Amino acid sequence: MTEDSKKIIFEVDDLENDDEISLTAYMRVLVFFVGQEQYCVDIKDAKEVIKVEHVTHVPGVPNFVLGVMNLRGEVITLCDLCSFLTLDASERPKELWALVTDVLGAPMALLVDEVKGAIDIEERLIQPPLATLGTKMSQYTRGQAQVGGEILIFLDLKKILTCEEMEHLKKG
Amino acid sequence: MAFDRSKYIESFKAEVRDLLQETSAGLLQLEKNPHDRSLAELLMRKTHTIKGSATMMGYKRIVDLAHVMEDAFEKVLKENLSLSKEQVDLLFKCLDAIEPLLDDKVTWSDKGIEASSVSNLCEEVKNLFSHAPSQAPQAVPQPAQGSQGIEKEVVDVSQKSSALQSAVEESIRVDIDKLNRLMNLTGEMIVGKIRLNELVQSLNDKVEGNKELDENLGGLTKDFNMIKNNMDRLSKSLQDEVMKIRLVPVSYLFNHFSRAMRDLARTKGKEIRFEIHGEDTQIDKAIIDHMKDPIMHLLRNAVDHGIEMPQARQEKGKPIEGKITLSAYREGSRVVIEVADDGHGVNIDKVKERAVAQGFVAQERLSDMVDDQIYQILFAPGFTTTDEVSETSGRGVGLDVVRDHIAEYKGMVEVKSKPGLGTSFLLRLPLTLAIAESLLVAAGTDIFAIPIETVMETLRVDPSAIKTIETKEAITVKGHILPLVRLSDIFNLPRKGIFEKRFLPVVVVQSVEKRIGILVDELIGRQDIISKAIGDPLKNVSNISGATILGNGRVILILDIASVIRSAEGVVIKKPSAPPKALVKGKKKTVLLAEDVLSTAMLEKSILEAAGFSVVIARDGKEALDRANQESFDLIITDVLMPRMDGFDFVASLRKIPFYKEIPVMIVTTRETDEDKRRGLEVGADAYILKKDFTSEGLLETIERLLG
Repeated sequence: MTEDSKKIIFEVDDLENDDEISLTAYMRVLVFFVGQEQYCVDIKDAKEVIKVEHVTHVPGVPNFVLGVMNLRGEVITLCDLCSFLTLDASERPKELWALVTDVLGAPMALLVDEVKGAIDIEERLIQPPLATLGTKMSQYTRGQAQVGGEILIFLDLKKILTCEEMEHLKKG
Repeated sequence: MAFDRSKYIESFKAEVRDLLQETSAGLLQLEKNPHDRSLAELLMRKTHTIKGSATMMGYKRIVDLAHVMEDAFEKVLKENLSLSKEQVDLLFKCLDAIEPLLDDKVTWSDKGIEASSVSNLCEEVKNLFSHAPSQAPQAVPQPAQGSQGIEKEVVDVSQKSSALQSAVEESIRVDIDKLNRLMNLTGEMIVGKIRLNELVQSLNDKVEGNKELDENLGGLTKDFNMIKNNMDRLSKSLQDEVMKIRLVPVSYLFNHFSRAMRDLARTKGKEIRFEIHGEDTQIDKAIIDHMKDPIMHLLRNAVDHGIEMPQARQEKGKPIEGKITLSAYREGSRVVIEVADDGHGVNIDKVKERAVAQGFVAQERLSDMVDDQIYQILFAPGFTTTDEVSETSGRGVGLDVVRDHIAEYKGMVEVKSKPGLGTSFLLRLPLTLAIAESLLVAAGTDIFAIPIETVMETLRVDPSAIKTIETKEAITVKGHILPLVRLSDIFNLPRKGIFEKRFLPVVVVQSVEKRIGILVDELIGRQDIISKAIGDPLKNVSNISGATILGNGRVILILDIASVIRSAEGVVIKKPSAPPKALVKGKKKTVLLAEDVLSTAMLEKSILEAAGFSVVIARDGKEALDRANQESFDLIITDVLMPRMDGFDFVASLRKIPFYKEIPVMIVTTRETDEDKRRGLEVGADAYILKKDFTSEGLLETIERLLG
């Protein structure tokens, strides 16, 4: 895995030195793990990545809300990306990381397993969602891309965070 | 070249609003004191500034209006005119016309408003100021009484206008978000400082009694302690200063009212002297911004119902001119805003009579009630004295709205009245919404903050004193029955060895008229907290009004007492003594639970899960129907009143699906009319359980019967 990520970063450097770069459209994405899968989001949607230290449980909320936490004096909601992606959350790394996003306006955080870093991918390499994906998953993805032998699932954070369950929660 | 004006629009609007308010205040003073040339000059300058800014921003109609006003004031100044009532009215009309022009987005191209009305208004001003014979200065009507007060006011204002100007020069507008960020960062710095204190303390502990180490460190410990103490002082002052930034003088709002009172008194045909006191009193802008309507309501009440007609006053030997005072002052950590009149006061006997007649109070209870309690009846929703043919008619109408509004900003309303001498309404408001005094309590492993203004008292209760009344727990306090609710039950939290305690802590809370006791695991203590909003998506989560960050950086939740009381009124179930584990044999059966009240859903879910079911919650009938289509459930439990699709429609639709023809369906609801029960069974439910009769045993028994 580490080899591959090095490779990806290497390719990016290569591309940046290439004069032909202007001819192809690139998109910068943030790559991370949730469970065994690699996902990515548009870097513009990811404000920062923070270490999760203390989460306060909020009673009476759906399972996908892990609670609230302190982001430099601001109280933000932490959601579990696993629940949205219907992944098994039983095995979690000891160190927890969260992706802070403001696609909904106010910042909120999404728990992820491990953050690999930012890379540039060619927009034409992003393929439409696989037909084999579940309906729920295909709604949440913008497609996938094969980069350096790895498959990245490109998540649409805005769609995930405006899903029906979420809208229901917002109404209280 | 066109420049991008949009960036400046907000500051332009704010600036013009300020100018309008200042012009309005100045015009009122000029009317009372027509000789004051400095006032006319000030007004000319203000309108000139409005004209200038509006020209820059392209608000042409505003330019026109400001222009004619400026000309009018110039004329007043040059020809030493005294304004007639008509002229003043017209100028006020112009001021009133400007405000909506600011807000109208279409105004950008000046299409949104009726252009003709503005130009007509301008023409009117021009005509009135060129043709109308100006009143000779000596002909200005001087009120027979209270002229001294007015002169005093004029002095105040001329001082104020210069103070106002310097204030404008020395202040800048800051986006409230920036201020909030500054406050958050200050809070975080204090968290950091607490960690520093801990480190210094552990250093002190290590060095103490270890001379060698101390010498090796070469006085470092002393330096650290000095820096720590310095940081303590600095961070405390920084926090205080940041808090103070949010405060504005009440004059910010109070100045609006002089104008409105002038108009009100005129339309009601009453002679009223309106005085403002303590306008420099500081209060959180977030609070004062929302006090306009309640104060206006109380002022209108005072004019309408408080002050008598001039003739009536004369007969009573009072000065013909009634007096209404709006004042503000600090009282400890609170700010009091008082609206007082010298009218005829509240007729307490009439209030008592009406209260009994309308069923607000039982006759026999009246004798126990002190006057303050009687006055509180004025705030009861629906209480009215309007159908009486008496002078007090109308008193109390809409006061419930005022009280609720004040309560929303953590304030209280109090009435004082002396028959024949007048009434005053006191609004006791917190200095700032940012800091809230709270009681911290523990339930399960969580800590919650309860806003102190909702806490009536705290008790320690012997567990044997807790009685069960109609499926709910209660205790008797001073002869009154107090419903009890366990915080851990409302929130479905694990209980923490609570039964082993000899005494249980209970927090008695009140919201509006309802009072309950909240049973907690531990009382931690009182603390000033900085309340913070929880943003989306948890903004509307029930029972929680916000959050705060403790000194150690941890987030704790603030209880929304009104919502907790509502939740407590819902289903209260005693935990099953021994959950019948082996109810479901073989494969886990799945239950679809349609219930929009989350606390109820969680309670039912926990009972069902304890009995070995797997439970899926749907938040309304529509969602439940979708889920039912996707999966095969063994049992359906539904509420009746739900958003989008109610329980009856859901059951009816469900029965049309072949798979669900024979699947047991239970309705659990608060609707207890026979009509509803009949309808429930008609649409195809197998059982109908009332929430008030709801017990876990009862529920499980019914399920057992239905599943055969």
